[in-house]
Amino acid sequence: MNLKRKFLLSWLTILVFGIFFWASTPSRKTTYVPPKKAATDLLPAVTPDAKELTRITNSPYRDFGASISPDSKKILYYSENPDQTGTEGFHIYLQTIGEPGTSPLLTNGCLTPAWTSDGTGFYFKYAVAKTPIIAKSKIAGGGISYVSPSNNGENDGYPTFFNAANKIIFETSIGKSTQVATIEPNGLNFTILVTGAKPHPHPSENRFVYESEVGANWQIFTYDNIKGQQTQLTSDNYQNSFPRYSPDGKWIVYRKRINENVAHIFIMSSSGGKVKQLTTGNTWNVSPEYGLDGYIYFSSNAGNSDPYRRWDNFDIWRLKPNLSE
Amino acid sequence: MIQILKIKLFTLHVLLPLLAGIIVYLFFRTTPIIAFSFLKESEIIFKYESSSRDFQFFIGSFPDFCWLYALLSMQSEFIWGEIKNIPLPILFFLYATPIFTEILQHYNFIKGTSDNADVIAYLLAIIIHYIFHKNKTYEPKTQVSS
Repeated sequence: MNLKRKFLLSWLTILVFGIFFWASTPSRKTTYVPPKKAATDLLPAVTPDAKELTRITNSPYRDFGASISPDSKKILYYSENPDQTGTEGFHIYLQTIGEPGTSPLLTNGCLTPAWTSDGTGFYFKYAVAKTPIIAKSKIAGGGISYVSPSNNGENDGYPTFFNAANKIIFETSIGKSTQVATIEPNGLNFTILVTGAKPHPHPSENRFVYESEVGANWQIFTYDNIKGQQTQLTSDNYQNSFPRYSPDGKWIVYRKRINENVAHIFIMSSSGGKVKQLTTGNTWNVSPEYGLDGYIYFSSNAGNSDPYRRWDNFDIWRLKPNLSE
Repeated sequence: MIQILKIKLFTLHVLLPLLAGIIVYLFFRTTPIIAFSFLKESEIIFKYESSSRDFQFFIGSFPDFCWLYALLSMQSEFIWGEIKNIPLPILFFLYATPIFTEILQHYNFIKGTSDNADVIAYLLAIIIHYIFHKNKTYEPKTQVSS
């Protein structure tokens, strides 16, 4: 074989193999095997302990992380766009409850928004860089400003303003563990409080609720920020996650994973009693948020139209819990 | 005799890894749901713990290992005769491009998800190929008359 033919064959081989690598790229990184279920399995449903189940958003994307404005008129949430890869696919939207249409506020790598206490802006996780950072934006005017000049841990997220402590509380990764931490509103004094995730502060008291891993399961805890004392509220063999206080601080709404395909919204008293299941059926319900209007907002794949669930289309729904005895 | 040896070696070093990569890719891969594994949020939200996650390296990076090994074997043994005969630009392209691609993916310049396991797989393929083939040649030896 002469040199010219060798070069030609060499590059041709590289091209063929290059096509192999390229063709396999989009799908081989995924780790999620979607369950095959019929669309009829995903009917939205509530238990007798809840009523007024209503769909709030209806987008082709995955809508998560509802955060209700202090006046209960607007909802912030983030969407995951399946057509975009990596952090680019996460965008924050604003919607007026009860009105059609939604406004994109921030695009690309913006997620888990939480209103500021005055309702003029919101904190969120800004995940454009490899190490996410807590950032802030305004409802009117937009823009992104970093709360702290750089990341505090390896994966800062779920920021919320902690009224009683006048701090921003959030989760972050330190090594292999997830920690609940606070920073001042100016981004200084990074303080790790307890091992756990997704903290949510009590509306008036200096305590917060969070989830933490106990053995193989995630359980709900409260943390007294004055005494530095933690109290475990759930102790069953399920994954209990996404705890949120009610506006009066008397109830905690959370998500319980029933099995690998089903997760439901539950509510319990702030001391861990009076547990009530609110959603039912074969749906996956997640990230609840208790609004001042008395409704619990959450993400659900209820009504998913894809019979094979290759892409679970999550929307924000709401229900009203029946808290009478 | 050389022809039979070449067929055997082609099967062992090119065809077999190529097929192994394709089989893993076709039969063990997961459904393409973009960016599902990228952020921790998605993993925590969905907790649909898939058994395939335990074999993530096997599923995600083993085909890369196989294909790069097959490509290097094809180049060194069956096109250029041995490693040292490969022109430097091609050799550099073969070694650097897979790793450089991961770096570009990491910074979102090209589509795909950067993965350290892939880089390890590529490096393993390069090292193993070099160890196995550094002294091998399948070009007919030229008779040197004294």
